[in-house]
Amino acid sequence: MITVLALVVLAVVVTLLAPIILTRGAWWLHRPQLALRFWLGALTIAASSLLLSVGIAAVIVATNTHTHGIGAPAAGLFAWCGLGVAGGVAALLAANAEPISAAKRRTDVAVTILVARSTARVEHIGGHDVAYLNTADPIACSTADGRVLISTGVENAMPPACVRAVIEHERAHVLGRHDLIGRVAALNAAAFPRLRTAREFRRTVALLIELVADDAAARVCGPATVCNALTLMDRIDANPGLELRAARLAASPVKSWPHRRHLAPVLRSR
Amino acid sequence: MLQLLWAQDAAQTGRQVRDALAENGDPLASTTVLTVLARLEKKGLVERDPATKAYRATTADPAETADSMTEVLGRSSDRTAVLQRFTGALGVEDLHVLRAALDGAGMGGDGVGVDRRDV
Repeated sequence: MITVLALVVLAVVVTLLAPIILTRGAWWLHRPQLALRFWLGALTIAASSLLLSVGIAAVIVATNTHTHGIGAPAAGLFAWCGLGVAGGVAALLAANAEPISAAKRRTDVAVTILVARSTARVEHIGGHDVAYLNTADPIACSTADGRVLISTGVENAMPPACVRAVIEHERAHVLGRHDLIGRVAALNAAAFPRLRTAREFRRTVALLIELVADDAAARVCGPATVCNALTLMDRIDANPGLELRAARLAASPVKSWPHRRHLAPVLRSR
Repeated sequence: MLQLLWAQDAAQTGRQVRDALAENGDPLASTTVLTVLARLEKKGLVERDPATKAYRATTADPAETADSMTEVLGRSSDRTAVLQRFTGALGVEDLHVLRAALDGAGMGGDGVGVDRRDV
């Protein structure tokens, strides 16, 4: 029973302390990848501690380990309450997963149609398809299935080195499975709307994955090139976030070791 | 399936679509192919000839298609994380936090411009 209580305390402590410790100061500006790992670690510890505590309590009840004292009724009450809460959370997650799945299906259809009808050419870079779309709209994005879309509007607005920086940024999202992390954060926030940690997790994750992708692109293309790409993108698709991200890279460039930069080869298929 | 139909001049029957998909390394059951085609027809993306029962992709102006699909992608810029955009999906609060952290660290964003030497 002590183990069960210890696990619950651990989950509560991690949940309460994570937003206080991880959002303190500006260290995460310099180490966004580390900050993202800490957030994911905190979520994993809190969730697995709670699930484990309910599981252990259920085992205690099932095997009648505590036959005397308050251990047995306390474990029973905790196990049943825990199972009830777990069921409620599962129902909330299922209900909130549906709109996200529907949005994903709509986007997949839109991307498929857009790629089928408007692709000027496709390149293969480091195992990813990069489709260049014939449209003046500033499109630069990646999809959950690993495709990168770049419009001629973006291509015409910046030099090739900056376009490559945009592509490397998007490839970093794909390689880091940032879509999955974002969806976990969105579901977590939807399941616990009143929990500050869940709200902070969702907000911080959205920010950190952009900074992580910027840093990944900077390691390959150079910080100044990524900075320029952000600034040029801001000119065709004004967004205050682009300017702030450029300012971060300009003031605190990531270590990129020019001699170690490795650009994946570009293979053209049409 | 849409890419396949757009690439063909003539209308294709369900069986022809199934065979072409199989040739492309995507073997599907006939019923699955017909179900998908029926759904595409319902969405107005393909047309079915009632006499020959063959399907043809609806003819749309590529620029018009791009515009409408871009609009759909634009709506996906919410925070359901189904699409990662270079511009990001940062909300007002995210921007406030980022700006405050940059100011706090003495890394304010005024005067960032393009360095032509690097590009």
